[in-house]
Parts: sequence; C-alpha cells; structure tokens
Amino acid sequence: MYSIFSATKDLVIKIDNFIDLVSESVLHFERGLDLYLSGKTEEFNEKVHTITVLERKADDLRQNIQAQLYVQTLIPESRSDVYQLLEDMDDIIDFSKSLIVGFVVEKPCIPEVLHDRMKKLAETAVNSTDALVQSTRAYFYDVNTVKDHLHKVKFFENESDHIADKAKREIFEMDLDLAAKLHVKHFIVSIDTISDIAESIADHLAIAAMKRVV
Amino acid sequence: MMVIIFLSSGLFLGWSLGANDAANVFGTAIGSKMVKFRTAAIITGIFVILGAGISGGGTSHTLGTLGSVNELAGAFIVALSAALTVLWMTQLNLPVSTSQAIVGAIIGWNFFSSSLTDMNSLSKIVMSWVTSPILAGVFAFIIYMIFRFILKRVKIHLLMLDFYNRVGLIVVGAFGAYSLGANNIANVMGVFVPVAPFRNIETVLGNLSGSQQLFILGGVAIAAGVFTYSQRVMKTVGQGIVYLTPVTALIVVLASSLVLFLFASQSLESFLISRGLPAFPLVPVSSSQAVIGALIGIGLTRGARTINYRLLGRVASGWVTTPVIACIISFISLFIIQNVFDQQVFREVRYSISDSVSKKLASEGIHFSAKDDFLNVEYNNAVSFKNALDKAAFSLSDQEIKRVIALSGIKEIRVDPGKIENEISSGWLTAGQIEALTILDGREYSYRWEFFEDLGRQSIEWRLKNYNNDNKSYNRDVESKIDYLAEKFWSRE
Repeated sequence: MYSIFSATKDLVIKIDNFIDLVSESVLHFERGLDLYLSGKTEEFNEKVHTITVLERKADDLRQNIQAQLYVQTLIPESRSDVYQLLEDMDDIIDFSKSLIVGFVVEKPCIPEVLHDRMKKLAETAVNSTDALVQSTRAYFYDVNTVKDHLHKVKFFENESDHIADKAKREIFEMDLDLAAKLHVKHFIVSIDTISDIAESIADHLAIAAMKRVV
Repeated sequence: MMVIIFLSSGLFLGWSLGANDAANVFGTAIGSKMVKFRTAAIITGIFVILGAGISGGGTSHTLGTLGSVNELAGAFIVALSAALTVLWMTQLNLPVSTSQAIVGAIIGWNFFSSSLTDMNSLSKIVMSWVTSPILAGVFAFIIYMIFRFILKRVKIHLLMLDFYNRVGLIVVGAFGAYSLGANNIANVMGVFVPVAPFRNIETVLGNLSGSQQLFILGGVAIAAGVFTYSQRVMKTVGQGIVYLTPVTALIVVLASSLVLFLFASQSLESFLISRGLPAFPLVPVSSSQAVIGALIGIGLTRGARTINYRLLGRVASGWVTTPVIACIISFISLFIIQNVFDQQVFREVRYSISDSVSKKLASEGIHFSAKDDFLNVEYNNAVSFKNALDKAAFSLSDQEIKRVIALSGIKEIRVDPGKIENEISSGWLTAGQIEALTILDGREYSYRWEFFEDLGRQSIEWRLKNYNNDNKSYNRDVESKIDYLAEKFWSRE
C-alpha cells in the first residue's frame, strides 16, 4: 500500500514539474524574442538551446507520466482527459521551440517600429499560458475553481488577436517589399498562435472539469 | 450424505446470491474501473464468509419466527423454491431479491404444513423492505453532501484523491461484503438452522456452533458465486444503472452497506438499545434495492427530476411479485416431493388444550366460555385449531388467541443431556443451565412451555427477564437456546 502511495506522490510531483515546464517554455520564448530584437545573438542562441533542452525534457516527462497512468490504471474516469491535456500542453512547448528555431533559421527582419508591439504580443502569450497553467493546476487540485482562471485565457487571447491585427496593419502600411511584409506577418501570426493554442486547450479543460465536479 | 443433498438447494441459493447480490458491493467500483475484479472477488469472498459466520445469527432469528421449517426435506424445498424464483425472475429480467424470495417460500411452507404465519414478523419484514431503500437514499444524500462540503474545502490532488478513493472502495467494499454476509446469510441457510444435524466443533479460532458452521458453508457458497459468475453482473451494475464518478461509487457502496449492517448487527442493536435509541429490526433486506435507493439519493442532490419513477415502480412491484411467485413454487414443490418422492417435508404439530394448558391459561388470566368444549380435543394443525378458536372463543383478543395457540402446541420432549454433550463441553451453556438440565435428565413433557418452566424452576439462568429493550438480547439468547434444546429433545417416535 505504501509503495502505491509513494508512486502516486511521485506522479503528482512529475505532473507539477511538467506544468512548470510549460510555463517556463513561454517565458523563455518571451525572453528569447527580446534578445533577438535587441540583436544579442550569443545570448539569444543560449536561449534557443535552453528551450530545445526544455522541450526534450517535457516530452520525456509527458511520456513517463502517461505510461505510469496507464500501467498503474490510475484515474480511470479522467485518464483520457489528462492524457489529452498533457498532449495539448506539450504542443505549447513544441510550438514555442519551433517558433524560436524559426527566428534562428529564417532570421526575419523586423522593423524597429514594431518591436514594442511584438514584445507586447509575446507578453500576452505568456499571460494566456500563465492563466491556462493556473487552470490546469486547479483542475488537479481544486476542480471547482477551474472556471475562475479559464476566463482569463479567453481575455488574453482576445487581447493577443487585437495586438496581432494592429501589428499586421502597421506592417502592411510600411514601405517594404511584399515578401518582407509577408515574412514578418508570418511571425506575428505565429506568436499570436500561442494564445490560440492556450484558448483551445482551455475549451477542452472546461469540459473535463465539468465531468470531475462532484 | 443425505444432509449434503438437502443442503444443496441452500448452497445453490447462496451461489446465486453471490453471483447477483454480491455484485452490488463492488459493482460500482468495477464499473468505474477503480478496482480489479480479482481483488474485488477475493475481498468479497473473505468478508462475506466472516460476516456470515460472526454476525449471521440476528436475521435468521427473525426468519425463524416467520415460520419454523421443521424437516430437512422441507427446508430443501423452501431454499430451492427461493433459488428457482430468483433464477426465473432474473431470466425474465425482473427485479428480484433473495430476501423476498425466501420469505415467500417460507410462507408457502406455512400454507402447506398448515402452520400459522406470524403476522408480526411478516409486517416487520415487509416494512424493512420499504424502509431499507429509503434509508439507503437518505444515507447517500447525507454522505454525498458531507463529501461535497469536504472536497470543496480540502484541496486534494486528483491522483491522491484517486488513491484515497481506491483505498476507501476496498475498505467500504469489505464492510459491504461483511454486512451482506451478516444480513443475507439467513436467506441462504436460515431455514436449515433448526433442522440441520450439525454438532458444535472446536477449532483453532474457538468453538463453532452448528448454525455458525451452516453460515460459514453458506458464505463459501456465496463466495463461489462471486468468483464464478459475478464478473458480468458487476459490470452491468457498475455501468448499467447510472453514470457514477469514483467518489459517488464509493458513496453508493457505503450507504447501502450501512443499511445492510443496520438491519443485521446484533452488537449495534444492543449498543443502540443501551443508549435508549430505537434499534432496527434484524431482518434480511435486499442489497440491490438498497443500492437503487442510494443511487436515487445521489440523484436527489441534483434535483427531484432525476428520479426514475419507472425504476421505483419496478422495485415496488418486486416486493409483491417475488414473494408470491416463491410462495406458489414452494407450495407446489412441497406437494410434489411429499406425494411423488414420499419425503416428509414437515413434522405435524398437533394442538390440544389439556388440563395443564387450561391451568396455565387461567394463571395468565385468559378465560373464554367455550374452553371446556376444547378440553383434551386434539387438532391436527395450527390452522384448524385457530379456526375453531376464532369461531368459539370470540371473546379473546388476537394476542390472547396467539398465546392459546402457542401454549397448546404439543411437542413431546424427553430431556437427554447426552444429545448435547458437544454443546455442553464447548461452553455454549452456563454452569447453572447445565446443572438444571442434569437435574431434569429423563423427564418428559408434552408442551414446550412445560419444559421451559421446569428449566426456570431449576435455575434462574433459564428464566427470561422483564421484556424491555435492555433485556432484549439476553432474552433472545435464552429463547434461542430453549428452541434449540426443544428441537434436540423432541422425540422422533
């Protein structure tokens, strides 16, 4: 009995760690974008490395948690929801990593006038992910309060759309090649996508939470 | 060998109880995949046997007062009729309970042997059928509210909650299996208690009385039913009735187990009585109906609209149809086995108001003008005697008629302590009780009450105390010992 208890405790810690990684990945992305825009290439490359390591760690952790849930036949009622939630949360890390790698590979030339707006967009992505992380923790610890955090995800996603629209409008009003415009627009849309992913996960989480309410 | 053949119907009934009713204990846990079938089956098997062996006596006493089946072949048919009713109604997909089937079958025996059915016991039993699902519903409602209150305030991780829930389901499931064994074993083996020729045996765990051996045997039959056939039923119970979360599954099992325990535990009864609280009658109730009651209780927390009135109707119809069908099957089977297979299915008890009975009645203040017409006239059975009394002794109240019948039943008793050597050596009787029996060695009586009075004259330990709640369990113990001795010393010539 004690071994099952300690195995369960261990799994609780792993899930908490995984959720921390999701939150950190977006924070690292925000900081990486800041460094890219400031032209601090060396530090930026370090950040890219950090996110890459973090993404690998999160993948291993997720697979480990899912295997343990399955092998020990834990939470049979909520297992599929938790599986899905972990997969979806992992998408945020994967997307943040691929986006930052996109900056390394494509080296987009972002006009200085757009820097603040891009930073604001990344900050909003962090906020929406943060609200999602809080909702997820609530799902595990205090399911009745999930909805208290979920509405914030929606709020930040709207905010993100709004900022992205403004940024797109500004870029297309600039005197640049269409190719350059489209290139920058691609990165604006991509950063905005982080909030979209968070919102989509929040929708699933709302239903999963409803199922769990006693 | 004959004993085993006759017991087989009880064992069959036990097996079907294990396959069907025991599924209620872990059904919701299996349905919600919280507990593996193997774990559930092992726990149920062990605790059903423990419940039957340790606490099985209470409810069988009540069944005994409903109708005392006094021949092994009769007990065989009664148990077989109940088992066939359960089997048939299950096949017809009708709600069925072994508790209701056995009561019907016993009444069938009463009709066939022209014995009287004790209406007091019957009404107590029927009332319990109605109250048990209601009580389970109330318990489930209250426990659910308490759980919800706690879970809203205590922040437990989903996985830790899952862990506690599993432990809870196993503990509560074990309690449920114990309660089921204690409450329902009387259905399976109760009718065999007065007639099965089992002697007390000494084991490493202590002395086992004849009825305890029967109950353990019945418990083993129930456990066999659990292992061989209950898996499918458990899955149906768990998934078929209503969607349950693991927490609500735990509440359903807890509420229904509490009800079974309340209606089975003699210790709880004594505890309640000693504190001046009302006690529950010790009556076998239906675990399926307790579970349905608990599910409705959970549903009520989400509003009265969730109540499935059709399901309620089906449950209530089972209260009537099951005993009636079992009664008919029992009556017909008794007729066949007596007349086709030439087996004695009951021992005739004749009734007569002798001089001694007449004096006894007078001493109790029971007088009726036509008493002299009854003097030394023998009646072949309780029904014809009662009919005669109803016609001639109309000044007597129902209670007085009941008393006249109880005192007039002829039972040729010859005291022979040699027949109960085992019971004496095992410490089942007190020193004073044994001494009284030794003094009475060889004496003969025509009526049970004469034997009883003489015992009381020899030792205070054979006397009943005043009828009040404090003395209830003491008196029941003395009465059951006297019943046992009266059966043992009843001359077979």
